[in-house]
Amino acid sequence: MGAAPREFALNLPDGARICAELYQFVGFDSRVSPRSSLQFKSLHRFIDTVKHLSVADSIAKTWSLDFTLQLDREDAAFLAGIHTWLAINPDPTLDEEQLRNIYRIVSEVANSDPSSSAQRATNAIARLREQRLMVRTDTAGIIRGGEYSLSRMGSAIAEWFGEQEGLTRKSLEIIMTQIRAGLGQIRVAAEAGGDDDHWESQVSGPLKLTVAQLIEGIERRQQGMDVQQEQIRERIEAMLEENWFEAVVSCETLLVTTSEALQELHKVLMHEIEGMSSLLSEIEDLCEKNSRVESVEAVDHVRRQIERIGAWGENRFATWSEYYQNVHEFIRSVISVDPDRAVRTRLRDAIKAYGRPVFWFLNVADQPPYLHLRTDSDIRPSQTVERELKPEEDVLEDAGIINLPLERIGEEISEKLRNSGQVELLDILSGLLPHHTFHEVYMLAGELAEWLIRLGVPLPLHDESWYPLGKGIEIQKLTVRQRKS
Amino acid sequence: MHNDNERTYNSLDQVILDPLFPGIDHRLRTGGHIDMDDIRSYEFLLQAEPLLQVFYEGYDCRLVNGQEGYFYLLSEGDLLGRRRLSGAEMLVGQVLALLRMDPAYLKKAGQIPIEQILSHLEMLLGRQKLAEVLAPRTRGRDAETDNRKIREAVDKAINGLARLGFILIDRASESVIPARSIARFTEPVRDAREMSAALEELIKLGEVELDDEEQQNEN
Repeated sequence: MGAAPREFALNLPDGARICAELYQFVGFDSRVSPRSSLQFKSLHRFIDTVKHLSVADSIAKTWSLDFTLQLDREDAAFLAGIHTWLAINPDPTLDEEQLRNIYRIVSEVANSDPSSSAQRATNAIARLREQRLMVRTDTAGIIRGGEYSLSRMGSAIAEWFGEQEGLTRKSLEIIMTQIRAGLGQIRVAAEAGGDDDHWESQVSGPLKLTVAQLIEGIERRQQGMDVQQEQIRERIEAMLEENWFEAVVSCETLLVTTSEALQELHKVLMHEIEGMSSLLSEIEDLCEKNSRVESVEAVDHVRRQIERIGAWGENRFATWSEYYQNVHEFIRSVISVDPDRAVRTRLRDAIKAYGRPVFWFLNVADQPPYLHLRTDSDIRPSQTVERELKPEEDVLEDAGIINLPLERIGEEISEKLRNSGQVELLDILSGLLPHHTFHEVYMLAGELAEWLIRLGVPLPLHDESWYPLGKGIEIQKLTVRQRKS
Repeated sequence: MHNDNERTYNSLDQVILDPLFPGIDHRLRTGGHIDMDDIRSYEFLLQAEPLLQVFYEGYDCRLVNGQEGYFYLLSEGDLLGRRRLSGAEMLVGQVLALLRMDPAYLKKAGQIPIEQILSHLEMLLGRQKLAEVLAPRTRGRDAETDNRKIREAVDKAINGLARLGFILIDRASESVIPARSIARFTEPVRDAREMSAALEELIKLGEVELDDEEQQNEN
């Protein structure tokens, strides 16, 4: 026992050990409050480390622990027995003999062979230790029997096996009063201000430990209440299945009682949360005013916890309302319509005898889809077809005019333009026609017109007449004058 | 025109001019079922029912208000057209109507996993009959192909029932939530009469059609 092993665990810097620390760190249990400054700082570091973990980090680190948990019925009962022994005895640890005595009860309950009880107790103790559910708290080694206590994980599991403590109006009000009192003291401390130690021990420390743990107490009870609600749902289902129509009244009573309890809790929760939020805001303002980053973070942590319990209240209230409506709808539309379950039986029989005496099919309306006729139109839709623009040379080559390079004609035309000041497309093409095929000239005409426009300045088209160029081609005149330099 | 607080209709033109009408009319004509969970559409139909009855009579149709709180349209002539549900839709619909009466699904907000539908079909009909009905084959059988075909037929039936408003599908949890209209599948067994007598009456009402064994496998 004592602080030494806990301090050792806390000071381990390796992040991969954090989960193991969480399990083994008995001092983090609410039963033990940290007193020394060293313990306190270590706790802070620990909480900060946990706070900054991401989901992925947490998964990866836990995976790297290669930790598995196997708990059979006897081990679970043994664990619960140890937990109860620790709760009702002043001694915080048990020796091996006490553990064996507890196991003897387990053995009797399980009707196991008494002759092998000692060996099975040894094995059970070893299993709990291997799985870190129980820790040895002395340093006596193997010379004499050790002293044992449950780890945080062992205690948590044993608590879960025990009575699921639900959230009642009374328990909620007691905890909320404690939280408000705690927050009030913290506000006074924040108003007073002080050195680093003051802010750590009077503001951020109590926020992280006292208030946070009290809120955890609410969360734990909320989880207990979730289990209780699940049990109520199962009970309603079992009652209806067993007694059908006769169970309606008792089911409705159960529903109403639970709804009222939830409504009352919801109301208290919302009211208290509102009060706590404003207190937290005041503390946060004071922390910010004094530039206490760590304290602001502690306030945020508590605020998130409070938001979480508030969201729980909202969510469970809505879920239960929905369930309430579903059950009522079920009673109204199924049970009341079929009070002796005859329809259910007949339908089951009908499905079993599917097709006998005859196949029957439900009819549904089935209007054929509307026909959308297009209105007549003389206008043909125009469609733009895009194609890749090829270089001029490629176009000429594709057209088979490899013996009519534009560069060569171009030089001649350029020279003519320089000499005479202007050139005419019709003249140029007419000049080419005797020496080239009709197809070659036709292919060149477009390219040449474009080239001419780039070369000089086209003159306005006064004559819109079409002039024949060989057989089947007509072109308009295109006169280009030399650009002024 | 109608008032949102007291939606009342004095004439058919008021009903038809209501912005809700085109969508609801289309759903009804294509076999849809509209129940109390679609509160706006249901309220509309409730208020406009007398006028819409007259309107749909012109199409040889009948607007039916089911006792569990849902509306649907039955076509009794040739003007609008009608169809019967497939064999798979009928089987899945009946199983869902049965499961809806099971309080076990209450705590899951009425959600019924598709796996549960499959297992109940197999439990109630038996493996061989289920395969004959949902995975008909002319040549030899093998379990893997049968399983696949049964699953495909059930999925298709579920989609068909969802289109008609008999169920809602929750794709994320691979489950379905039966709507009130699923009660139509219990019609022939609602009372203690012989099923054949009940069916005879339902045929007269245009609610159901009968068929022989050879034609039951259509999908």
